[in-house]
Amino acid sequence: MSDPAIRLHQLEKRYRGQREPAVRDLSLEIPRGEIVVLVGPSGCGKSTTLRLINRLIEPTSGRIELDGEDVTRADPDALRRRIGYVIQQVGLFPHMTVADNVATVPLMLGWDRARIAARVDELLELVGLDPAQYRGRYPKELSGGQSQRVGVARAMAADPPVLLMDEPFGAIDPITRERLQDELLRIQADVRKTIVMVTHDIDEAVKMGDRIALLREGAQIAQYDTPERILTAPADRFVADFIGSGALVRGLTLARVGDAELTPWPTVDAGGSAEEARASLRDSGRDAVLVLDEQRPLRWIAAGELGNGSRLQELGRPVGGVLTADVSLHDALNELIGSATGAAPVVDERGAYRGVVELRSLSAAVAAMRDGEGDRSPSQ
Amino acid sequence: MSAIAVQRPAARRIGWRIVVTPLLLAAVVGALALYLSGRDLDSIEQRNLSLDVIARALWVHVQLTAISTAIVIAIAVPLGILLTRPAARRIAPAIVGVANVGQAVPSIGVLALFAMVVGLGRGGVIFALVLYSLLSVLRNTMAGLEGIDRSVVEAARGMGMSKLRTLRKIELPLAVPVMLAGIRTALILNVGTVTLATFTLGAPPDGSGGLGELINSGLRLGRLDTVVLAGAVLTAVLALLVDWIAGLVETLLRPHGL
Repeated sequence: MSDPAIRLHQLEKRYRGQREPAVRDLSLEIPRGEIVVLVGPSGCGKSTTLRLINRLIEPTSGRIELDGEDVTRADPDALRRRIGYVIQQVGLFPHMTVADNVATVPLMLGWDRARIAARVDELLELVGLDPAQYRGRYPKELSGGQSQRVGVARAMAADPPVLLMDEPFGAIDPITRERLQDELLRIQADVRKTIVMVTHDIDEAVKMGDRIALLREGAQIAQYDTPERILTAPADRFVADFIGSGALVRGLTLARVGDAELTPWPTVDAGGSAEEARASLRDSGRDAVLVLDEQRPLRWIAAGELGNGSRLQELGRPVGGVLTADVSLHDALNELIGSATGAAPVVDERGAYRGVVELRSLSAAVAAMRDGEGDRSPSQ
Repeated sequence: MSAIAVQRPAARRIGWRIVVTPLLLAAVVGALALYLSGRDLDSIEQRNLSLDVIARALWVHVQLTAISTAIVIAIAVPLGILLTRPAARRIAPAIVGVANVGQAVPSIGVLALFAMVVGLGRGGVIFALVLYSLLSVLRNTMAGLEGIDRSVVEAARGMGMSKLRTLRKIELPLAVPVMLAGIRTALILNVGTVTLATFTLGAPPDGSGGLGELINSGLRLGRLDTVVLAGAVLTAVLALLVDWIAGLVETLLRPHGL
């Protein structure tokens, strides 16, 4: 990593009266424009690490660099105005309106009123809150999800290049949490901030992270890698245990059908005859043929069902679901398990048949992730 | 920025019930005046209950209450802020303990003690009143500041607010309701305690000892159902009026959104 946004160098935090340091000799580089998730069991020092970055906690020793600049001894208040900060409890100021909350940092930076008002509306829009309806509300008039939206807007108010998020969705119900996660990813696709996020939920880490730093006690890095690699190639027993069971299956959520290699499958046109179907099957080594109606997958017919004389449209059974390139391999696996033939047809955006996905395609995709050839692997 | 906020008019937050207390108190004073004018007052009673004496007694009473409460606020609020800073966490219990003693000792005892030490006169009275009511303001200032959701302060600091700005913009406004409740308590305590001031101020019967002087001299002269009654009723009315004003201030100064 030639030019990381944040570089932690041999960072250490010792608390008086505690034998073991909370953070021991931590060196970590956070690439620009990526989401890095710090994840680990409670008490591993992940939140402490986050607060060391904006120096809400002062390090005992070591160095913190932001954009190549040593900020270990810079004025902490000025430093924090350059870094957005979102916490689980949100911490909105209850005596200020939503607009005044969001305006906090711009106000400190001395922006003029018109610019602040415009920025507030822009941000509320960005996080999905109608400015006209919400800017004058007080925090107690917001739901948990709405509060955290305002929390995110407030953190992004002065357009800081770096955002720190400490379990931002930890106190929010699962459905809203998922929506907020999706929205943060959508926003991130636009703004490309450098985001360091803390969570104890490995699934959230896998979903949100471009990279995951899995920490053990003392903020020791057990593995620092892409989610694909963490799930398919855990570095050691600790990582494997933390991920829990079904890691590979969960890894399939990270790849799409479009990434997998499609396999050809014997097909026959719906207007064709049983003889044509048998011919198509003959050299393929498969035991079922896929009937296409004007390129659209229609039915599966097993070899044994191909009697004489019957029309193909009346034989076999209908194709259940078809997959498109943007379906996750996890959902594809679900189709495969339900399919009698062990294959699921894939169609393009016009619904025309392109090939099938088999269990083998999924294994190949997992192998590719393990080798670091996954979609989101580091570009170097 | 706050111009954007939806401001609820103060009048609507208070409502029509606001006028009930002053009307009731006016009625009580009117009834008292009516009762006294219907009585055949002797010369002693007339001297003690002249408008001149009552007005001066009221004025002295209000003055002593206001001055002592102002001094209490000036001492206890900054002290409370200091004692809730992390650096002072260790010494805070000791200082609150000292203030506790001030309130635990009966007020007449404190007054007498200070009359002996500081001497008779206003200074001694005010000193004793301050000592006596300091605790309620100190304790509420501290409770108000300590009761603030830590995550709100962390968010403020995390966004780059300095300690002083966090105190000014976040902590103090949020602590205002609890602090005002403490000041209200101190006011009421002081209105009551000032009635004892007459014992140390000495009492030429001209009202310069506050409303307590009416009660005191009424007792000495055996004029229970006139002089003592007037002193007691006026003290009670004053206390309720002060409480009413303090309540009004509390409502007006309470930050929006809480």
